[in-house]
Amino acid sequence: MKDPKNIYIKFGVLFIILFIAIVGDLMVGSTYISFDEIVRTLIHGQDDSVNSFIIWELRLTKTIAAILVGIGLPVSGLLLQSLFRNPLAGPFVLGISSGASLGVAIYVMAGGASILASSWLLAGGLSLFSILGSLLVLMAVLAVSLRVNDTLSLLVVGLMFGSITAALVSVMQYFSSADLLQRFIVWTFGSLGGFTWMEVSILTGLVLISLILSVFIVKPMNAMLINEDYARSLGVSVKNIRMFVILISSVLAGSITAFAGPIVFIGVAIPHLARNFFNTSDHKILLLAVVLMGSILMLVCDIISQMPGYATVLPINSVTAIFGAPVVIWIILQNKRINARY
Amino acid sequence: MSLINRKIVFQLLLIILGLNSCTENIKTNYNKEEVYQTKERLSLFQTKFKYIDNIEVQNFDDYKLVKIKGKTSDLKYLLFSSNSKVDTLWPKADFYVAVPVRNITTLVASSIGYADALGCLDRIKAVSKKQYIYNSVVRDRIDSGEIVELGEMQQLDYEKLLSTNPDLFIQSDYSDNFEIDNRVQKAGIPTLLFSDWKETNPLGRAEWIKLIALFVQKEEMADSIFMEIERRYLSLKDTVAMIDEQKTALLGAPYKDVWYMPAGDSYKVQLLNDAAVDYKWRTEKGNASLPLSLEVVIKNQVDADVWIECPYRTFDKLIAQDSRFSIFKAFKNKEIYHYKRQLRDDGANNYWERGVGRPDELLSDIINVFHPNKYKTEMFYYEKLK
Amino acid sequence: MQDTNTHINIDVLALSNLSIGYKTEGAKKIIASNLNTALKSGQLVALLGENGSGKSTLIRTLCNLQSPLSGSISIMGEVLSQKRAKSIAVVLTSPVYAPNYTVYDMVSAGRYPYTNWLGKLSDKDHYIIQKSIESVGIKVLSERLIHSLSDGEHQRMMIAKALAQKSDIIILDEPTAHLDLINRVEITKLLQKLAREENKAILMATHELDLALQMADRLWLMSNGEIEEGAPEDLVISGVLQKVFAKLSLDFDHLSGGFKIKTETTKSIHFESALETNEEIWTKRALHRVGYIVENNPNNTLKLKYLKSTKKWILSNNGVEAEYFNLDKLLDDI
Repeated sequence: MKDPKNIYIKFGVLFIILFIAIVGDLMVGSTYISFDEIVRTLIHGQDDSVNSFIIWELRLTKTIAAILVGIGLPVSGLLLQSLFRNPLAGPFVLGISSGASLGVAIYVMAGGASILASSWLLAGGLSLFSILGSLLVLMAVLAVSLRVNDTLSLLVVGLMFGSITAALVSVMQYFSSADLLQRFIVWTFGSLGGFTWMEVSILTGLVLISLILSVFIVKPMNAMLINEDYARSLGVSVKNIRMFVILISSVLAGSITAFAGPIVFIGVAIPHLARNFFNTSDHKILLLAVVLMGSILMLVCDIISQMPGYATVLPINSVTAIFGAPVVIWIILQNKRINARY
Repeated sequence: MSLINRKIVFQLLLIILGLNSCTENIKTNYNKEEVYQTKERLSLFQTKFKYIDNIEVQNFDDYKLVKIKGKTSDLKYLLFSSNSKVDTLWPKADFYVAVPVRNITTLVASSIGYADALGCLDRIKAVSKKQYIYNSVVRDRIDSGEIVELGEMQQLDYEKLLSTNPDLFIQSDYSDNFEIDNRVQKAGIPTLLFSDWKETNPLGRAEWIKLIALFVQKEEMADSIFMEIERRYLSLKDTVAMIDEQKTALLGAPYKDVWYMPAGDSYKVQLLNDAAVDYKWRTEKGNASLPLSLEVVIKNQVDADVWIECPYRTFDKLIAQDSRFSIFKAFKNKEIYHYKRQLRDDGANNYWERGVGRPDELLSDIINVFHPNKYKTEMFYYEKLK
Repeated sequence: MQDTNTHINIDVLALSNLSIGYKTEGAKKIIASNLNTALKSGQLVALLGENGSGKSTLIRTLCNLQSPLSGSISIMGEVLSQKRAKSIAVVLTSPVYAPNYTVYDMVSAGRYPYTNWLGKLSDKDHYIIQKSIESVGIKVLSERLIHSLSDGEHQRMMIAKALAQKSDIIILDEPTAHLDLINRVEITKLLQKLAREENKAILMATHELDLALQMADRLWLMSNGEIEEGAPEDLVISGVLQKVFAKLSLDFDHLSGGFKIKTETTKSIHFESALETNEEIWTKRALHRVGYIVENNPNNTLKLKYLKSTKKWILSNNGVEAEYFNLDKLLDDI
């Protein structure tokens, strides 16, 4: 039996680190605002000063955005990895994030060219198209999953959809004008800075709903982890769980991608770090672990991306890749240890 | 080294060494079947540049040498009359061009503005895309097929380009060392690298009209046009020179997380200086844009009086891009101006075609906006946001 | 089949006109049909059959991993519905993932049908889990990661998990595949014990005819889309077993309860063996293996004698004698 005290201590440590990370992220910015002022503004609310505006409208939104991304993508990755019993599964594997990219591409390049002429993107329209794109791939993968009972085939289907959407995006890039193309490319860098309270509230709602749903499937996911036959024999409705996981993952990946752009590696890497840190596969523990560790990592990445001096902000994707890619490689090396039993 | 690598190295060497080649390999636009209608002699006008310091024109008996100086090397154009033959005793040059050129391909918007001013729009036979061109004559000719579209710079239809067989190919120069596509080179098409955008002085930018003029043999006309522009500009500058209380300006808009602000040496800031307008970053050195975060801009420029060159034309679109723009004083006072008054439906903005060559008009617009009590006329490119 | 606990064996799992198979692209492929039989509590039943006879299909259908084509399956008289988790526990051959599970975690999964929505284990659950682990004899392995176990330990663990489910029925698919002899015997003995002492109905699909004949209470023999069932000895006596496994190259040996491979015997040898000692039996086997019929015919030119006192064989070929201390050399020379 696992030592519960050990687990509580680990969670305690994570909470403390998370708190520090939040404070750190609020303090880091391209202009200097003192710690006292930050605390004062947070307590007393926004007043007329510029600093207060910056803290509430720029920094706080960015911090919350980082946390939402740090929650959403790793939860999605955790569920997908357990569903597919594959350590490399994630929102990108299923093509869901690619679907979101396709939605954005259509909106920016095709829509932008004919409908909006020389205007810039409207945030609402962009996110709508992104989620629609995500859902489109979700529907397709769902439809296939109901007919195909084999998880491996489903993974391949997801990859194929990812390829199709990526190809379509390339074709569109080829035909679009230079500035629209530029806009789309900038979007692919990923960014947490474009969040206003409107985007934050929408995303918070979606992430919260998904998180609550995830809590309800913790138990069946533990059974699914053994294998699908055993899960069925223990009373799990495998078809329903599959649908839930895909739905939750799509909403998370789709909405996050819409607002923050495609952010890579977090979905795949964090669940592994969580599994290793807590030495368990129990979703009861992992769900919270992934929420905390994902938030911490995104905040740290955000802090790092703002550090290089004056005003240059590194694209968030570059920072997450530097962290995430080594983890993915490490996963592949570790995978040799796991031999499925006959 | 593989075959492809060798080829690339060779081409690079060619470029770096200034495209020097033996006389037999001189590629000119002279050896053509096409017979010119008039046999013009080379004009005698000596072109001089007042504000541009890296272009030099030397007149000789039967040819002119135009030298564009670069960081590591120079580009040399040898211009000769189209009714004389290439002389093997001529000095080495990168391009030998028979002037006046009759068939121009251009990807540069401002060159169209200059060509229009010089009255030689009819020489333009190929452009990038209709949606980047404001000039109605050129647009009509594209529709009728007289002018060919070649696509964006990155995705240029080289086959079409080569088939139109231009006398002169004008493209922007984004590098520091005169990079020219090797397909164009191989075909022997004289390429004019147009780097007017690098000029830090607004008048210097407009002076590039003289360079176009050299190739179409209209140097005298260009000279007088420029003198008039200069006169108007300086007179406008005088009208506001006495002003003590300078209003502050905010320019542009952020793109995703970065707000690119012109730095102190850029021509935009020069315009502001000449218009007696204060600008937070005017003491920053350099010509390149400053990549600023929204936070920094808000902190420093939230109280700017007027916001100009905003890329959105309505307040709705502006606020939809980012609701936090409402914090700016300029927003609260509705003192925001865009620069798309002369705009085609598909996005072509005359600001880039004619405006950059008419600093007097640009200055006029800025003064209009910032000193309405001193000077009030119709604006050319600026318009208040709706 | 009564034991000291005086359990009464009842029909726990009944098949009624069951037809099993696959549906591919609308077309039905029937593997077996009209199956009518029942599993009784307190019994270990072995499901035997050639490869392709439908054993796996039947197992999967009974475990609710695939649907029957027609007919019904009932548990305790009730026609099978969705909620079978508390009635049937399974042990399968499909690969198991769960990389960080300990043995304890895996066995705990057996309590799934009984725990709350979050899967919290009560004290009673822990007790059951511990007892299950103990009864299969892997208590020392409780905290080991499941992928570090040997095949035998893994099987015990999965059986413990099935036990933790506290179901009346346990169905196993090839539980002894990939195990060495000792483990095969031990596992089968374990299953027999569980059937008898805990009154479970245990059905195992297996290839181990020897073990099945020795340890199962009933056999279900699948062939040609039908099931023949009965006590193992009945099936041997009636010849059903031989019929099902009839093959040209096999002979069923009534005495040993196994199959003997038919070899071509072209030669004969006289061997004096009156006592049927161990050495004599095995000498006969060796001779048979290399193609000799053993007879009691002193006129045979080839004669063999074994001297127990000196532990040597004496071969006499047309009067010429030779001594051997092991069969290997003897067989070489014949």
